[in-house]
Amino acid sequence: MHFYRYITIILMIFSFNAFATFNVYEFNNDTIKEEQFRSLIADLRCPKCQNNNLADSNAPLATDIKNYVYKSIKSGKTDEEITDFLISRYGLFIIYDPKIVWLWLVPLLAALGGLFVIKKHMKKEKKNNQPVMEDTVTMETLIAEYEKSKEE
Amino acid sequence: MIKKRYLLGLFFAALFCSLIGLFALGLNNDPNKLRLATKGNKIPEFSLPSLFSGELITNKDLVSTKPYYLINFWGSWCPSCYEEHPYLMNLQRSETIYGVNWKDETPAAKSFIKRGGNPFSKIIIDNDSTLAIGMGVYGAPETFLITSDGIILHRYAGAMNSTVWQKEFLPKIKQLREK
Repeated sequence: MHFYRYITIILMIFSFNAFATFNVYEFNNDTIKEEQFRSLIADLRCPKCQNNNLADSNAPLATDIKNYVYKSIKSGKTDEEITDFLISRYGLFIIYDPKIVWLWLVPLLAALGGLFVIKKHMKKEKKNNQPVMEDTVTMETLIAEYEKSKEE
Repeated sequence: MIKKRYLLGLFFAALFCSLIGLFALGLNNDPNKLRLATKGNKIPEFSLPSLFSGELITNKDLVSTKPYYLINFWGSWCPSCYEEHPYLMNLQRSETIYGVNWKDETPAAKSFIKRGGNPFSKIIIDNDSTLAIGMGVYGAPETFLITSDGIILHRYAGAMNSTVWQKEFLPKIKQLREK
C-alpha cells in the first residue's frame, strides 16, 4: 500500500514538471494579445497531425508554427494576416473553419429540401386516407345480420 | 403543378447525389498527404547556415546548370531518410540536389552524412523551420522540384526511389524542358 502511495507522490512531482512546460509565451500582461494568441492556436490545425489544433499538439513543427504565430502577434500582425500566410503555405487544411459558405449551405439546403419533400408526401398520404367508410359494412354488422337471419 | 413538384424533387435528388458523390470522392483522399499549397510560388528568401562550413546560404545560392534543381528536407531522426539515402547518392550523379537538414542535432546530422555519403551540393540547417514553413513542409523526407529561377513545381512527401523519380518527377521535368 505504501509502495503505491510513494509511486503516486513521485508521479505527481513529475506531472508538475510537465505542467511547467506550458505558458512559455510571455505577453507582459498584454491580455488582448495573449487572448489573440490563445484563440488563434486553438483555431489552427497542426499540419503534421490528423486532428489536433496547434494548442494541443506537441509535434516539433506545431511548436515552430506556434512560435511564428507568437512572433507575428508580438509584431502587431492581425489574425487575418497570420492565417492568410499559413493558408498560403499549408492550404485550407491548416484552419478548422474553412470559410467556404457553400460547404455549410449545401447540407442545410439538402436537409431542408428533404423535410419539405417528406411534408408534402405526408400531406398527400393524409388526403388519400380520408375515411370512406360510409358505404362499407363492418364485420360486426355482417355477423349480426347473419345471426338475425338464422333466428328467423 | 405536377411538373413543378417533379422538378423540385429532381433538384433535391441531384443535390443529395452530388453530396454523396463529394463524400465518396473524399474517401479516396489520403489524410496523411497534404496538397502543395506553395506550388507556383517562388522559394522564400532565407539566410541560413551551412551544415559543414557554418557560412550563411541564401536562396540566391541555389543554382543549377539544368532548368531545375531539387531540394530535399531530411533529418537524422527520420527513418525514411535512411531508406532513401542510397537512392539520393545515385541521383546526385546526374542531378543537383540541395539538402535541408530540418530540426536536427548538428553532430547527428554530420555523422549521418559521413556514414552514408553526401548527395547534396549544399546542406542548409533549418532548426526553427523558417524554410520548412515557408515552403509548406509538414514531414520528412520531402523532395521539391524547383525551376532554375526558383519556382516551386512539385513536392513528393516520402522516401525517394527510382519508381517515384520516374512517376512523379520525370514527366514534370520533361514538360519543363519542352517549354
